[in-house]
Amino acid sequence: MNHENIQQQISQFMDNELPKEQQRELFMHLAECEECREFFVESKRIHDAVHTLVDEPFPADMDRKFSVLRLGNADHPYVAQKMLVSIPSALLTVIAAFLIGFSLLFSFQTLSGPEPDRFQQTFNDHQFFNSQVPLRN
Amino acid sequence: MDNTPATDETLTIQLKNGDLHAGSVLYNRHKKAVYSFCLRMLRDPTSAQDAAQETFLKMISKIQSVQQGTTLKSWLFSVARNEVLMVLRRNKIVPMEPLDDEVEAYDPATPLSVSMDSELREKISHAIAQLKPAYREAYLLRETEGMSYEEIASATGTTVSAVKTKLFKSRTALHAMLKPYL
Repeated sequence: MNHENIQQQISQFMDNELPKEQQRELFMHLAECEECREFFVESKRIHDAVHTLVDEPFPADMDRKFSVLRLGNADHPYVAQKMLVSIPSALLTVIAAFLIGFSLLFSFQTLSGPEPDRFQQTFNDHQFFNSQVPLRN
Repeated sequence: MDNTPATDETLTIQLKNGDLHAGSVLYNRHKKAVYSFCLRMLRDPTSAQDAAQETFLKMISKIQSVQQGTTLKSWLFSVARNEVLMVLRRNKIVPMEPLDDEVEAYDPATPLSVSMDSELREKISHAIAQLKPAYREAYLLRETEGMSYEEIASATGTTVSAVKTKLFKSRTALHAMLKPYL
């Protein structure tokens, strides 16, 4: 096994991706080869140090820009779709309410209208009749 | 009552169904990692913020393209990677080179800057920044995000074998750069 193959195995070992059998072979080689052992120790040191790297501070204004996520984003296809659905629905509801209102009003007038007219007519007729027909003794 | 936080998978389904609160939870869960990746790739806070911002806007608008079997994390990082790539191309910084075994993982002509202070961590940060983007992205996704080989392959549109090679070359390059300080 050449050194490059061993270094590839070291890389996989640090990722916990080296099969057990190959791990055994790797450590047998490391026990014998100083060059690879040095590479292993130093690479491990770098690997461990990388995990202690401190992240840069997160930019605060990025959250503000994304607050739109919490409020709802009109660019979102579902939001846009809902808006497309909700606007005509609202219009239709208003139109339907007007139509129903008008029909109810018209129906009420139609139903209630003739009664006083008929009554008035009867009353008038009666008056006329009374005025035309002289009273008997 | 179950207090277990919702998984990315569950939240992705909820977001696909139009639940923007799920998008907000996913954003808060992944924002630091995505921003950190963009920053380490671009080395410029403003560009990194723009790239991270675009990534999350795409998460909201293109969530339907997250296919079953793909983790949201690898999908997010593939989007972030594309955003980073666009910035690199726009600024003509460094093209993302295709993997080539003959290509060095870093440019030996530009050794670590003498302006580095004595802290090993800073030297390591600087050394990572010296890696070529195609190697740096694989290395960062593995070491700082803990992504599996499969996830990295999915995020970078390459094979597991290529990921292994990139990681190996990144590590040997870092070792070469940092050897004088170890």
